[in-house]
This record gives sequence, C-alpha cells and structure tokens, in this order.
Amino acid sequence: MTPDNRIDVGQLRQRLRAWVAHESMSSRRALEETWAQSVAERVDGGYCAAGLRLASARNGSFAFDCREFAAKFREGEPLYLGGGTDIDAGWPVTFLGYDVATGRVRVAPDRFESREPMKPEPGEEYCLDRRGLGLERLLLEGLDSVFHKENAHTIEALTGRLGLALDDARHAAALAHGQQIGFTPAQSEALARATATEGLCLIQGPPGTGKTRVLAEAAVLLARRGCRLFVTGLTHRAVHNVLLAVRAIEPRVPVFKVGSRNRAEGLEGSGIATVRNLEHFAFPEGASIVGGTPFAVRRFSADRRFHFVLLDEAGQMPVVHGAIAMTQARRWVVVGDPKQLRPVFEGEGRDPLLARSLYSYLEDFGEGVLLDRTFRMNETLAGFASREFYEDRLDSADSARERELALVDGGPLRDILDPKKPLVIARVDHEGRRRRSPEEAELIVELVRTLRQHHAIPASEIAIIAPFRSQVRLLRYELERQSLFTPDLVVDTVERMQGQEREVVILSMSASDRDYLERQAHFYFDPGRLNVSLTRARTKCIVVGSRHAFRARPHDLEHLLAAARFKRLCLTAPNVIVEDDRRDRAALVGVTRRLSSPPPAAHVRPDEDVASGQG
Amino acid sequence: MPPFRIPTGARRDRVTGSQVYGFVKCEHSVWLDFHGDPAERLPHSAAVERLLEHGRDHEDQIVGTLDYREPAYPVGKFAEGADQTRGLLEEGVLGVSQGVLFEPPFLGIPDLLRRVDGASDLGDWHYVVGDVKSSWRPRSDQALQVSFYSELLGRLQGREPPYGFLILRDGSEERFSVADLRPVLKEVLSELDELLAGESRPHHSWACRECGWRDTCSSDPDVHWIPGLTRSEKRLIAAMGLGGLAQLAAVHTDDRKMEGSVVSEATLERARAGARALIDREAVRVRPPRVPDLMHPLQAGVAYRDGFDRRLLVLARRSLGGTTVVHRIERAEDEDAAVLAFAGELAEGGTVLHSGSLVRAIRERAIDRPETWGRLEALDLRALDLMGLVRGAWVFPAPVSLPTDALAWFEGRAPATEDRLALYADERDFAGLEELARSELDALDQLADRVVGVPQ
Repeated sequence: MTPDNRIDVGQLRQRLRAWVAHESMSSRRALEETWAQSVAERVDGGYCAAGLRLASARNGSFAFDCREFAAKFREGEPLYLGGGTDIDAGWPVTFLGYDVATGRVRVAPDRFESREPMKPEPGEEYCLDRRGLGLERLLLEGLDSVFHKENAHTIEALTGRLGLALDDARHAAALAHGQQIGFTPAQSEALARATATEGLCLIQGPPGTGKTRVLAEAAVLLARRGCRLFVTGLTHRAVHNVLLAVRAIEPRVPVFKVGSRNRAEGLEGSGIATVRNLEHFAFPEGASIVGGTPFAVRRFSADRRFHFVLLDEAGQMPVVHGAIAMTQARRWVVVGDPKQLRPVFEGEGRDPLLARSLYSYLEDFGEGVLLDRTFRMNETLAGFASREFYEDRLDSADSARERELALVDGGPLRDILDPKKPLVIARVDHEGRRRRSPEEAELIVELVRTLRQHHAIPASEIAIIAPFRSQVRLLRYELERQSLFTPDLVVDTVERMQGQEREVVILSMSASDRDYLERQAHFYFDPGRLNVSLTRARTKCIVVGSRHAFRARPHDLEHLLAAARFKRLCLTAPNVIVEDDRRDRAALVGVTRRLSSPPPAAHVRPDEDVASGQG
Repeated sequence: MPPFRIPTGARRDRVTGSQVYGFVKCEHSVWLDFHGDPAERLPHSAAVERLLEHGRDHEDQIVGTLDYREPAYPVGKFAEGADQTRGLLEEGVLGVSQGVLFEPPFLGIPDLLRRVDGASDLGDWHYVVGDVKSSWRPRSDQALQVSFYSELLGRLQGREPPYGFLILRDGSEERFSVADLRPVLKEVLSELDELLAGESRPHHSWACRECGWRDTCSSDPDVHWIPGLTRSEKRLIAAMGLGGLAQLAAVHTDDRKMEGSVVSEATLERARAGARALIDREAVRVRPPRVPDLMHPLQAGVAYRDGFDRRLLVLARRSLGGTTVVHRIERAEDEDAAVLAFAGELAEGGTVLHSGSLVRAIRERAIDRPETWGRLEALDLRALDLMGLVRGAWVFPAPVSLPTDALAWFEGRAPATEDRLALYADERDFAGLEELARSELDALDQLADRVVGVPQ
C-alpha cells in the first residue's frame, strides 16, 4: 500500500453520503418513471408481477398463484400489492420469494409501513409492484457508525491506511488444517490468511472454487478458538448459505441469524436460532457466530464488537453497505469475485470511486488470494473463463477436468450436443432482431426436447439464459406450448443464475441488429454477465446466436474490447450453422452443417459467410 | 494480413490506416473513396480545417518532446519511405515518427513507433505503434487504426507488438492489447474487401454533417438516407421492396409485405415518417411528445463542452422572455466556481430546459467536488432534455443535435451544416460562442412553445 492509494477521511465521508443521496434520488426517479408505465410495460420490464390470485394465508404471510412470474424482485424487497393502478395506494408488503415448484409468490405485510390490515380477496387478481427500498435513512445511520470516533480501524481500512499483518502461528495451523481436509493449496492459503489476519483479508472466488466452504471452514476454526464472528452478505440467502455450511461442519458452536422469522427461509431444522435484533441480544459466553445483512448492525455499539467480520459476495456489495458491516470488528475477511456480476446502481454520472463493489474498492489497497481451482467446470469451459477473465490462472480440478455430458447414442442435433464439444456456438443467422429471436427460440426448444426426451437429461440439470426478458418470455412460452416447460427448468436472465450450476446451459444471444447492440454495449457486452453466463455449466454450454451479434463494433474502446471477447468466443469454439428451413420443420433438426474445427490461433480468420440466413 | 484485392478500375490502389479508421465510422465513405468521383467530394469546411489544424498542433506538441527520427523520402514514394523506416528500426533508434509501413496494398504511416525491450528480427528490441489523437476518450476507430499499423509492423519485425497506444488530448496514454483486437481488425478488412467488390449504400448519421461526400450521398436518397434507422432495419426494409422513398411513404402497416417481417410496426412507422420528411424537407411528427408537468418559472440552459485546451465551458441561463447571462471560464480552476455559480443562480423550483448535454457537462465538471453535488441533485430533478423529447416525437430529414437545427426543419429550411462550435471553441473573446449560445436559447424558447403547444 502506498501513500498514493490513500483517501482523505473527510472527503470519503462526504462522498459516501453524497453517493447515498444520489442513489436514493435516482431510485425514486426511476420508480416514478416505472409507475407511469402500463401494467404490460412494467411486466415486460420485470418490474411487476401481474395476475396474482390468493392461494393461502398462513403465519402472517400470504401466497399467491402466479402463472407467469418474470419479475426481477429480490428476496426481502419492499413491494406494493394492489390492483395495478394507483400503485402506492396498495398494501405495502415484503417479497419472500417465488416457489418455482408450486408457481406461488409469497409476501408478508410490512408491519412498519402498513396502514391497515392486509385482506386480499380470493378470486381477485392482483399486481405486485416495486415500492422502493427506502434505504437512505438506514444507510446514513450506518455511515454515522462508520465514522464514529471509536471506529478508527474501519476508517483506516477504507482509506488505505491499514497494514495486512498476519499472525504466523494461526497461519501455520490453518494451513496444516486445510491440507488435512483436502483443500487445494490456494484454498489452504486462503483459509490460513483468513484465520491469521490482523486486519484485512481478501479472497477472490471464481465460479465453482468453493469460496463458501473456505469461508465456513475459516469461521469454524476461529470459533474453535473462542472467537465471536459476524457473517454477512447482501442478501439473507447469501448469509444462510454460509451459516448452513458452518453448521454442516461444526454442530456445536452457537449460530444465530438476525432478522424476522420471515427472513429465515431455509434455516428450518438447522439448529440456527433467529434473533430479532442485536441490540437486546445477550451473547453467549465464548464463541458464537451471528449472521445478518449489514443493516442488522448499522447502529454502532463499542461493547458489542465481534472478533471478525466475514463478508461474502463482496463482488456484488456496494461500498457503503460493506463499510457499515465492517464497523463490527477490527479484522475482516472479504470474499467475492469482481469478475462476475457487479452491484447494480441507479444513478448516472456516479462517483467513480464508489461506483463499484466493496471487493473492487478494497483491492486498490492490496491483492487478494485467488482460489484457482474450479470444481464445477470441465477443462474446456474452465479454459475459456480462465483465459478471458482470470489471466490464465484458473484451472479445472482433477475431479472436474474430464467431465463430459452423458448422452445416449444417436439423436438429432448431434453436432451441437456432441459431448466432445463442451463449448459450442450454434449459429442461427437472423438479422434485425433487438430483444427477442423466434429463430433462436425454435432451435432451443428442439435442443431441450432432444436433451430431455432422447437423452433423459432431467430438466433440473438444464438452464437457459437470455439477456432480455422479452426473449425469456418467448422461450418459456414456446417451451410451454411444446409441453417442455416444467418449474425446475430454469429459463431466465443471468441474474437468477448467480451462484447456481447445471449440467447443461444454453445461452440465447437474442439480438442481431449491430447498430442497436452498439448502443446497448455497456449492458450486452458486460464482461461480468458473460462470465457468469458461461460458467454455470458443468459439462456443456451452447451459445445460440446470429453472426451479427458477434460482429458489433461499439464506438467506445472499452466496449469494443468487451465485444472482442464475444468474437473470440465465436472464433475459438466450434461453430455449428443451423440452416433455417421454415418449410420443413424436420429439416431444422436434420440439416446442420459443421465448420471445420477452428484453426490455430496464429492464423485466426474471421468467420466466413457460409450461410445466408435472413436479411 | 488476409487476402485483399483492390477492384480493377478503383480510384485508389492502397488501403491505409485512415481508411480503416474511416470504415469503422462510415463504410460508404470508404467505398466512395475508391469508387466515387473525386470531383464530387466537397472540400473541408473551415470548421473541419480548424479541427485538423488543432490535431496537427497537438501532434507536433507531443512529438516535439520526443527525440524521434523521421524518414525523409520524396513525396509519394512510399516504398522508399518504407526502406528508410526499416533502416531506422534495424538501427534500433529510440523511436520513429511518421514511419512508413508498406505491404501493398496496405500502407500505414503511424505517428509513433516506440522502441521497447524484447527480441525480434530487428535485434534485442522491437517496436510498438502509437497514434496521437485530439479526443479526450479513446475510440474504437482509433484503436483499430493502430491495430492495422501494428499488424504491418508485426510482419516487418517478426514479432507481434504486445500493445498499441493512443496519446489523448490531455497527454495521457491509453494502451490496449493488439492480440485482443486482432480478430476485429481481420473482420474489418474482410468486410472492406467484400464491400469494395460490390455495391454500397450510405447510412445517414451524425458523421455525415462534415463529410466531403454528403452531397453525393444525399443526391439520390432512398431508405438508406433516412436518419434514425439502423443499418439492419434499412436492409430489411429495402429487401421488402420498400427501398424507394415514395413507396415507403405510401406503405401501410397492414400491407402484405409486412407479413412475417422482422421489421416491427413501430420501426416501419418511423421509416415511413422519415421518408415523408425527406420528400417534404420538413419535420414529421410520429407521436405526441411526452411532455411532463413543467414547473414554472421555466428556465433554459445551454452548455458547450471542451474547447481544445479544455479551459472553455460556456453556460447560458435565461428565464423565458427574460435576460440572458453567459458564463465563461478563462482558466481551469474557475470551472468549479462557475459550475457552482451557475447551478446556484438557477431559480429554485423551475424546470430547466436544455439541449441534451447540460446536466452531463456540469456533472463531469463537478465529479471531484462533492460539495457541489447536493445542488446538482436538485438541478438533475428539474432538468428537461427538450431535444431528446423532440427527437423522440418527430423525425427529421437529417440528424439533429442543436435546437437551431430542429427549429430550422420545423420552419421548412435546412440548418447550417458547419460545426460552428469547432470554429469558435478556442476563441479568446468568446464573441462567436456567445452569439451561438444566444441563438440556441432563442431556439429552445421557440421549441418549448411548439412542443408544449402540441395536442396530446
């Protein structure tokens, strides 16, 4: 760490407060613009779920049947339940989740905002709309804690003044433990640094590298030393994942979750107790592990400190949220991956210092340990991600390296489904499409049919990802029409797939208007989205798209370089060109033509125009 | 390099870095460079000449600080220039400016060839390519031009340069991996090869305004000359048999030609309006403008960004029907004070009409001044991009950016083609810019009347 990296404390405080105000204002504005749209437009944009009918009311929560759920709601998000117009006159509720298996949405009344008892009528149709997080007050309260005069350590960490000291004895012990439990060298080193840090420890966890397990093992080792730990993440689900992993390793250490019972889904029967809030909580003697979102600890209390804070998914956590969580200790283990999905911000013209994740921000002050072995992807899939996103530092673990998709003999679309081609481009050359492609949907339906019916690949092992909700809806519709859609078949945008994996992933590029894509470059060619899309598959990733999608040339150099990555994908993976013969549906599955395998990289040529497609 | 054939009868026999750069901006302009009649090409306007002059000054300023050698060869004798350049590189000079890289039909004359360590056919060293640009941000066309030069250099020295670089307006250096852009470059050259062998149609965009071929492109307008459509949309519409303006202007969305088409109804509506706009040479409304509630008193602001020395930011404030105040900055350190002053002088609670860049320009100036952000938030809430609103509701015969452009079309006349901002950008007495600002404010006033007065 050099003096050049340091940030002035006063200026940081001012910038954080300004950031909160700007985000809040931008969010309000965006919300008002969304509310001004029609129901259909809001549903199309993922901001509304419509056609809900009451199914049950139990234990203070309500379940609604929802035939088609494509909203972008996150667990815990504040919503309005109402008739679809006059939105803010609806009942304020909290989104508890959508159960794919039952097709039901669950919500709970927001008891802090409810003006009257919630009484939805059976048989009536309702809409769920965004209400706005309204986090400004909570975040500003949290920032007061961050800059509390007794919180010098957090401020030092956030302004680049903290050293990265390690306790040698703890390091050695943890290293040995890691080796003993079969961790890779990088996992052992990460475990060792996490338990030995006397300040900040960063751990970068690419897809499938076991970062949750490393974090859980670190928590257990520290708990066994008598430490009090705060485990946090941006969502309750992220926190639960770590707590459950801890419980699976060590059943004896007391583990608690801060939050209401409604936010404790998945913890039933785990032995993890729920605590309403920390202010009135009596810590047990000795070690304990407490999990909660940063808001659970926004009010500073010097006598309620923890020995460590363990932050997961820090690659998606905004700086201000992370800063609030960090006030709880003087040692922090920050785990994330800045190469995957990044935090979503509303405001434009943002402060470049803060318009990134906590992990990226802290990386300015020192490099983290990279978990370099993926247990998810086979060699080909890991190889592309490694080259493009991890500077050739990611490798496939022995257990995953040779994985192949298990298919039976024969069957249509063999060129595309060939297990020997884990990463393949299925070219459907349409032109002029912006957010949806029926051509791609048609092929994808046949792929799913063949996988499920001929090769008996379960729906739960297939995922279809598209960048636009329009294409997601089209795909679901077409799959349903062919009786191929089941609740366990994921068809969604990439955000829903973060943290998940499947045997087979199909990526539908959807668009083929170069000029349109050049305007959408910041979104469409975002490296984090491509990384997550391509790294969900264990054995097979099929990228379905038009050659025009791979030929976009955004004006900004940064976006051109991102688009060039898509081009390299197209050039290095085998291309199978699907000829479009609308007169004969059978021809779609029978007539494919395979280009020769891509030539060595030194003589890469742009793909030749061998099929005329549409336009 | 990929196989490349200059068509027989073409007016040029070389492909240069400038053409790669030009192709990324406008493919048709490069096609015309090879197949068009040079007599039809218009000379540079005074504004373009000024821009080019500034570019040359900036380049001289940068190169002047380097102790680089320059090959001396008779004008047009590029083979000789290439030989001299090779000699300099083999000698291992620190750097070469305006070196010649020639592999017919490809010719490159990059601004800078910089020596770096690492073995090549030349010796224990090799070179990387850079170009000096007067833009503030790196662009794709610039990077691909440097990639083109890098490809030629790589073949000469037997080693691909690891990176190329751009030296930008503020003197900063932007580097990028040559390997990363190589597939894109090859695709560009392949497309250019294909384009030159066939026919080409123009694509009406912002770049046309100062292009020497604009009269040639606009002389026989069809669907390709309608602004605001993507190239894919134009091709698809033409493939439907609706390439001619008269046909397109007369089409109905329930026409049989629409069956099974990728082109949406909304796009076809816009194309039809665009055809009408070109035929009648006036603005055509496609839908009612989405006018939000306007808060009184209304105010209008105009911002001009970035003179060549980045000392100039002219902001104008005016209550409708009131007086005009023009703020101007003489030195960079005054910008922040002027931003604060400007934002503060805007009366509380009024809508601020602007022509598209006001809030962005102010925010960029204030990005490192958190004390200004509260006031800027309030401005952000009250600002209305009137030009954005107008462009969403009307189709014009040409791309419009300034209120005076839009107003001209509403009044049935073509706006001035010259980029007057470029002419006045570094004026010391601000007279030209101030006059421009006042005329833009007048235009904003009149547009506001027109837009707000339109039935919803």
